[in-house]
Amino acid sequence: MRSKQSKKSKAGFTILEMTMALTLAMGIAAALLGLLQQQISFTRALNDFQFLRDDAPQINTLLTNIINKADNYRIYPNLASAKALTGAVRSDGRSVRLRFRNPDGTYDQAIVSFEIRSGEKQLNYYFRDKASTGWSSAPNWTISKKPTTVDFDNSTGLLLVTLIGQKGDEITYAGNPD
Amino acid sequence: MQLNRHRARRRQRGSALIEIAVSYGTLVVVGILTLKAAINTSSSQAWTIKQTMSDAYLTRETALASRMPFDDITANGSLWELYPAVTTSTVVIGKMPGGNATTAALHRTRIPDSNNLVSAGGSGTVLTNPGATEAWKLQSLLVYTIGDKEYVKTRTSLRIR
Repeated sequence: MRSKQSKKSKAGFTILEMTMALTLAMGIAAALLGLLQQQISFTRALNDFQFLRDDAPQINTLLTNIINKADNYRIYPNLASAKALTGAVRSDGRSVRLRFRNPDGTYDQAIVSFEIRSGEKQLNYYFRDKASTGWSSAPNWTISKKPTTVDFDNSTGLLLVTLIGQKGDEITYAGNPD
Repeated sequence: MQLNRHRARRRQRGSALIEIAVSYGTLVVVGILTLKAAINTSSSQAWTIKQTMSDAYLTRETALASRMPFDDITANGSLWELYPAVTTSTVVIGKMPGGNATTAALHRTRIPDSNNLVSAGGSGTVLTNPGATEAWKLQSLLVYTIGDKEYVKTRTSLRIR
Protein backbone atom coordinates (compact mmCIF):
# COMPACT_ATOMS: atom_id res chain seq x y z
CA MET A 1 0.00 0.00 0.00
CA ARG A 2 2.81 2.34 0.95
CA SER A 3 4.69 1.61 -2.21
CA LYS A 4 1.60 2.33 -4.36
CA GLN A 5 1.19 5.76 -2.77
CA SER A 6 4.85 6.52 -3.30
CA LYS A 7 4.65 5.61 -7.00
CA LYS A 8 1.57 7.77 -7.42
CA SER A 9 3.19 10.84 -5.96
CA LYS A 10 6.30 10.39 -8.12
CA ALA A 11 4.29 9.96 -11.32
CA GLY A 12 4.39 13.70 -12.35
CA PHE A 13 3.82 17.33 -11.50
CA THR A 14 0.51 18.88 -10.64
CA ILE A 15 -1.29 21.19 -13.07
CA LEU A 16 -0.42 24.14 -10.87
CA GLU A 17 3.29 23.26 -10.94
CA MET A 18 3.25 22.80 -14.68
CA THR A 19 1.39 26.09 -15.25
CA MET A 20 3.80 27.94 -13.03
CA ALA A 21 6.84 26.41 -14.69
CA LEU A 22 5.50 27.15 -18.17
CA THR A 23 4.59 30.72 -17.26
CA LEU A 24 8.01 31.39 -15.81
CA ALA A 25 9.73 29.77 -18.78
CA MET A 26 7.69 31.93 -21.15
CA GLY A 27 8.65 34.97 -19.09
CA ILE A 28 12.31 34.10 -19.45
CA ALA A 29 11.88 33.58 -23.19
CA ALA A 30 10.15 36.98 -23.49
CA ALA A 31 12.92 38.64 -21.52
CA LEU A 32 15.53 37.04 -23.80
CA LEU A 33 13.65 38.28 -26.85
CA GLY A 34 13.56 41.77 -25.33
CA LEU A 35 17.32 41.64 -24.81
CA LEU A 36 17.83 40.54 -28.39
CA GLN A 37 15.59 43.33 -29.66
CA GLN A 38 17.49 45.84 -27.57
CA GLN A 39 20.78 44.61 -28.99
CA ILE A 40 19.45 44.86 -32.55
CA SER A 41 18.22 48.43 -31.96
CA PHE A 42 21.57 49.31 -30.47
CA THR A 43 23.49 47.91 -33.44
CA ARG A 44 21.16 49.76 -35.80
CA ALA A 45 21.72 53.02 -33.94
CA LEU A 46 25.47 52.51 -34.18
CA ASN A 47 25.19 51.94 -37.92
CA ASP A 48 23.07 55.09 -38.26
CA PHE A 49 25.95 57.11 -36.85
CA GLN A 50 28.50 55.57 -39.20
CA PHE A 51 28.14 58.12 -41.99
CA LEU A 52 28.78 61.16 -39.80
CA ARG A 53 31.33 59.37 -37.65
CA ASP A 54 33.49 57.65 -40.27
CA ASP A 55 32.51 58.36 -43.86
CA ALA A 56 31.92 62.12 -43.91
CA PRO A 57 35.26 63.06 -42.26
CA GLN A 58 37.13 60.76 -44.67
CA ILE A 59 35.37 62.25 -47.70
CA ASN A 60 36.08 65.74 -46.38
CA THR A 61 39.78 64.99 -45.92
CA LEU A 62 40.05 63.67 -49.48
CA LEU A 63 38.09 66.57 -50.98
CA THR A 64 40.02 69.18 -49.01
CA ASN A 65 43.32 67.71 -50.17
CA ILE A 66 42.17 67.71 -53.78
CA ILE A 67 40.53 71.14 -53.76
CA ASN A 68 43.38 72.86 -51.93
CA LYS A 69 45.77 71.84 -54.72
CA ALA A 70 43.61 73.55 -57.31
CA ASP A 71 44.18 77.16 -58.22
CA ASN A 72 40.68 77.56 -59.62
CA TYR A 73 37.29 75.91 -59.25
CA ARG A 74 33.85 76.30 -60.76
CA ILE A 75 30.56 74.64 -59.85
CA TYR A 76 28.21 72.98 -62.35
CA PRO A 77 24.81 71.33 -62.01
CA ASN A 78 26.06 68.01 -63.40
CA LEU A 79 28.99 66.18 -64.96
CA ALA A 80 28.00 66.91 -68.56
CA SER A 81 27.89 70.65 -67.87
CA ALA A 82 31.21 70.50 -66.08
CA LYS A 83 32.83 68.71 -69.01
CA ALA A 84 31.32 71.16 -71.50
CA LEU A 85 32.03 74.21 -69.30
CA THR A 86 28.44 75.39 -69.65
CA GLY A 87 25.81 76.51 -67.15
CA ALA A 88 28.03 77.20 -64.16
CA VAL A 89 26.06 77.78 -60.94
CA ARG A 90 26.77 79.14 -57.49
CA SER A 91 24.44 76.85 -55.55
CA ASP A 92 22.80 73.46 -55.85
CA GLY A 93 25.76 72.10 -57.81
CA ARG A 94 26.59 68.43 -58.15
CA SER A 95 29.93 68.80 -59.89
CA VAL A 96 32.95 70.97 -59.32
CA ARG A 97 35.59 71.45 -61.98
CA LEU A 98 39.12 72.10 -60.76
CA ARG A 99 42.14 73.48 -62.52
CA PHE A 100 45.69 72.66 -61.38
CA ARG A 101 48.47 74.85 -62.64
CA ASN A 102 51.68 72.98 -63.50
CA PRO A 103 55.16 74.44 -62.97
CA ASP A 104 55.59 74.83 -66.74
CA GLY A 105 52.47 76.98 -66.99
CA THR A 106 50.22 74.28 -68.42
CA TYR A 107 47.09 73.01 -66.66
CA ASP A 108 45.76 69.67 -65.53
CA GLN A 109 42.05 69.50 -64.83
CA ALA A 110 39.74 67.42 -62.69
CA ILE A 111 36.04 67.11 -61.99
CA VAL A 112 34.56 65.91 -58.73
CA SER A 113 31.04 64.85 -59.51
CA PHE A 114 28.16 63.37 -57.58
CA GLU A 115 26.18 61.22 -59.98
CA ILE A 116 24.22 58.03 -60.45
CA ARG A 117 26.11 55.36 -62.38
CA SER A 118 24.66 51.90 -62.93
CA GLY A 119 21.92 52.75 -60.46
CA GLU A 120 24.41 53.63 -57.74
CA LYS A 121 24.94 57.04 -56.21
CA GLN A 122 28.63 57.85 -56.35
CA LEU A 123 31.00 60.70 -55.75
CA ASN A 124 33.50 60.31 -58.58
CA TYR A 125 36.76 61.89 -59.60
CA TYR A 126 37.66 62.50 -63.23
CA PHE A 127 41.15 63.61 -64.17
CA ARG A 128 42.45 65.06 -67.40
CA ASP A 129 46.12 65.88 -67.65
CA LYS A 130 47.56 68.54 -69.91
CA ALA A 131 48.26 66.04 -72.71
CA SER A 132 44.71 64.66 -72.85
CA THR A 133 42.31 66.04 -75.41
CA GLY A 134 39.07 64.89 -73.76
CA TRP A 135 37.51 63.47 -70.64
CA SER A 136 37.17 59.76 -70.08
CA SER A 137 33.62 58.51 -69.80
CA ALA A 138 34.41 56.38 -66.75
CA PRO A 139 35.67 58.00 -63.58
CA ASN A 140 39.33 57.59 -62.66
CA TRP A 141 38.38 57.03 -59.08
CA THR A 142 35.27 56.68 -56.95
CA ILE A 143 35.74 58.76 -53.82
CA SER A 144 32.71 57.32 -52.02
CA LYS A 145 29.40 55.60 -52.53
CA LYS A 146 28.06 56.47 -49.09
CA PRO A 147 26.39 59.88 -49.49
CA THR A 148 22.89 60.11 -50.92
CA THR A 149 23.54 63.71 -51.97
CA VAL A 150 26.61 65.91 -52.28
CA ASP A 151 25.93 69.59 -52.77
CA PHE A 152 28.50 72.17 -53.85
CA ASP A 153 27.69 75.80 -53.05
CA ASN A 154 29.55 79.06 -53.41
CA SER A 155 26.77 81.53 -52.70
CA THR A 156 28.53 82.83 -49.57
CA GLY A 157 31.88 83.24 -51.29
CA LEU A 158 33.14 80.02 -49.74
CA LEU A 159 33.09 76.63 -51.37
CA LEU A 160 30.73 74.69 -49.13
CA VAL A 161 30.41 70.95 -49.55
CA THR A 162 27.31 69.46 -47.95
CA LEU A 163 27.25 65.69 -47.49
CA ILE A 164 23.91 64.02 -46.80
CA GLY A 165 23.70 60.44 -45.56
CA GLN A 166 21.02 57.79 -45.90
CA LYS A 167 19.33 58.65 -42.61
CA GLY A 168 18.88 62.34 -43.36
CA ASP A 169 22.10 63.10 -41.51
CA GLU A 170 23.94 66.08 -42.89
CA ILE A 171 27.23 67.91 -42.45
CA THR A 172 28.74 70.86 -44.28
CA TYR A 173 32.45 71.49 -44.71
CA ALA A 174 34.36 74.37 -46.18
CA GLY A 175 35.91 72.83 -49.27
CA ASN A 176 38.80 75.27 -49.28
CA PRO A 177 39.37 76.23 -45.65
CA ASP A 178 42.91 77.49 -46.26
CA MET B 1 13.70 5.81 5.06
CA GLN B 2 10.34 7.10 3.90
CA LEU B 3 11.09 10.44 5.54
CA ASN B 4 14.32 10.75 3.53
CA ARG B 5 12.53 9.95 0.26
CA HIS B 6 9.88 12.53 1.06
CA ARG B 7 12.55 15.21 1.70
CA ALA B 8 14.34 14.36 -1.54
CA ARG B 9 11.10 14.76 -3.49
CA ARG B 10 10.45 18.15 -1.90
CA ARG B 11 13.97 19.29 -2.80
CA GLN B 12 13.44 18.15 -6.38
CA ARG B 13 10.16 20.01 -6.71
CA GLY B 14 11.44 23.25 -5.20
CA SER B 15 14.64 23.32 -7.24
CA ALA B 16 12.86 24.31 -10.49
CA LEU B 17 11.53 27.43 -8.83
CA ILE B 18 14.98 28.31 -7.56
CA GLU B 19 16.52 27.74 -10.98
CA ILE B 20 13.94 29.94 -12.65
CA ALA B 21 14.41 32.64 -10.05
CA VAL B 22 18.16 32.52 -10.60
CA SER B 23 17.59 32.72 -14.37
CA TYR B 24 15.37 35.75 -13.94
CA GLY B 25 17.93 37.41 -11.73
CA THR B 26 20.72 36.71 -14.21
CA LEU B 27 18.62 38.02 -17.08
CA VAL B 28 17.81 41.21 -15.25
CA VAL B 29 21.49 41.79 -14.45
CA VAL B 30 22.54 41.05 -18.05
CA GLY B 31 19.74 43.31 -19.34
CA ILE B 32 20.79 46.19 -17.14
CA LEU B 33 24.45 45.80 -18.07
CA THR B 34 23.62 45.65 -21.78
CA LEU B 35 21.39 48.71 -21.53
CA LYS B 36 24.07 50.63 -19.68
CA ALA B 37 26.67 49.65 -22.30
CA ALA B 38 24.29 50.70 -25.08
CA ILE B 39 23.61 54.07 -23.44
CA ASN B 40 27.33 54.68 -22.86
CA THR B 41 28.20 53.82 -26.44
CA SER B 42 25.36 55.92 -27.89
CA SER B 43 26.42 58.89 -25.77
CA SER B 44 30.00 58.60 -26.94
CA GLN B 45 28.82 58.34 -30.54
CA ALA B 46 26.73 61.49 -30.18
CA TRP B 47 29.70 63.21 -28.55
CA THR B 48 32.03 62.24 -31.42
CA ILE B 49 29.55 63.34 -34.05
CA LYS B 50 28.87 66.72 -32.46
CA GLN B 51 32.62 67.29 -32.21
CA THR B 52 32.90 66.45 -35.92
CA MET B 53 30.05 68.82 -36.76
CA SER B 54 31.47 71.67 -34.69
CA ASP B 55 34.93 71.18 -36.22
CA ALA B 56 33.36 71.20 -39.68
CA TYR B 57 31.45 74.39 -38.92
CA LEU B 58 34.60 76.10 -37.70
CA THR B 59 36.38 75.29 -40.97
CA ARG B 60 33.77 77.56 -42.54
CA GLU B 61 34.47 80.28 -40.00
CA THR B 62 38.22 80.09 -40.65
CA ALA B 63 37.63 80.20 -44.40
CA LEU B 64 35.25 83.15 -44.07
CA ALA B 65 37.60 85.08 -41.81
CA SER B 66 40.47 84.56 -44.27
CA ARG B 67 38.46 85.66 -47.30
CA MET B 68 36.26 88.47 -46.02
CA PRO B 69 37.27 91.80 -47.64
CA PHE B 70 39.09 93.97 -45.13
CA ASP B 71 36.69 96.87 -45.56
CA ASP B 72 33.77 94.59 -44.72
CA ILE B 73 35.54 93.39 -41.58
CA THR B 74 35.95 96.89 -40.18
CA ALA B 75 32.73 98.39 -41.55
CA ASN B 76 29.64 99.12 -39.47
CA GLY B 77 27.50 96.01 -39.38
CA SER B 78 30.57 93.79 -39.69
CA LEU B 79 30.05 90.10 -38.94
CA TRP B 80 32.76 90.53 -36.28
CA GLU B 81 31.74 93.39 -33.98
CA LEU B 82 34.40 95.49 -32.32
CA TYR B 83 35.46 93.98 -28.99
CA PRO B 84 34.02 93.97 -26.32
CA ALA B 85 30.81 93.92 -28.37
CA VAL B 86 29.96 90.49 -29.74
CA THR B 87 27.64 89.42 -32.52
CA THR B 88 25.69 86.34 -31.52
CA SER B 89 23.62 84.08 -33.70
CA THR B 90 22.19 80.59 -33.58
CA VAL B 91 23.51 78.38 -36.35
CA VAL B 92 22.73 74.90 -37.59
CA ILE B 93 25.96 72.91 -37.55
CA GLY B 94 24.51 69.73 -39.02
CA LYS B 95 21.76 67.16 -38.86
CA MET B 96 21.72 63.97 -36.86
CA PRO B 97 20.42 60.65 -38.26
CA GLY B 98 16.67 61.17 -38.54
CA GLY B 99 17.14 64.72 -39.79
CA ASN B 100 17.05 66.58 -36.47
CA ALA B 101 19.02 69.79 -36.77
CA THR B 102 21.87 70.34 -34.33
CA THR B 103 22.27 73.97 -33.38
CA ALA B 104 24.95 75.97 -31.65
CA ALA B 105 25.48 79.57 -30.61
CA LEU B 106 28.06 81.44 -32.64
CA HIS B 107 29.76 84.49 -31.14
CA ARG B 108 32.06 86.68 -33.20
CA THR B 109 34.22 89.59 -32.24
CA ARG B 110 37.20 91.46 -33.67
CA ILE B 111 40.08 92.69 -31.56
CA PRO B 112 42.42 95.41 -32.83
CA ASP B 113 46.16 95.12 -32.37
CA SER B 114 47.37 97.51 -29.70
CA ASN B 115 49.75 99.13 -32.18
CA ASN B 116 47.01 99.97 -34.67
CA LEU B 117 46.51 103.66 -35.12
CA VAL B 118 43.78 105.19 -32.99
CA SER B 119 41.51 105.38 -36.02
CA ALA B 120 41.83 101.60 -36.32
CA GLY B 121 41.04 100.84 -32.71
CA GLY B 122 44.61 100.78 -31.34
CA SER B 123 46.81 103.17 -29.40
CA GLY B 124 49.71 103.35 -31.86
CA THR B 125 51.07 106.59 -33.26
CA VAL B 126 52.83 107.52 -36.46
CA LEU B 127 56.05 107.03 -34.51
CA THR B 128 55.31 103.46 -33.40
CA ASN B 129 53.42 102.52 -36.55
CA PRO B 130 54.72 104.72 -39.37
CA GLY B 131 53.34 102.41 -42.05
CA ALA B 132 49.81 102.64 -40.60
CA THR B 133 49.70 98.88 -40.52
CA GLU B 134 46.37 97.56 -39.38
CA ALA B 135 45.97 94.15 -37.74
CA TRP B 136 42.81 92.55 -36.43
CA LYS B 137 42.18 89.30 -34.65
CA LEU B 138 38.88 87.81 -35.79
CA GLN B 139 37.61 85.48 -33.15
CA SER B 140 34.72 83.05 -33.57
CA LEU B 141 33.40 81.06 -30.63
CA LEU B 142 31.04 78.18 -31.11
CA VAL B 143 29.08 77.16 -28.03
CA TYR B 144 27.18 73.89 -28.09
CA THR B 145 25.85 71.37 -25.64
CA ILE B 146 26.15 67.62 -25.49
CA GLY B 147 23.93 66.11 -22.85
CA ASP B 148 24.13 68.43 -19.87
CA LYS B 149 27.60 69.72 -20.66
CA GLU B 150 28.42 72.89 -22.55
CA TYR B 151 31.42 73.05 -24.85
CA VAL B 152 33.17 76.00 -26.45
CA LYS B 153 35.44 75.92 -29.46
CA THR B 154 37.21 78.95 -30.81
CA ARG B 155 39.11 79.88 -33.94
CA THR B 156 41.09 83.07 -34.34
CA SER B 157 42.27 84.47 -37.65
CA LEU B 158 44.76 87.31 -37.96
CA ARG B 159 44.17 89.79 -40.77
CA ILE B 160 46.77 92.42 -41.55
CA ARG B 161 46.94 95.20 -44.12
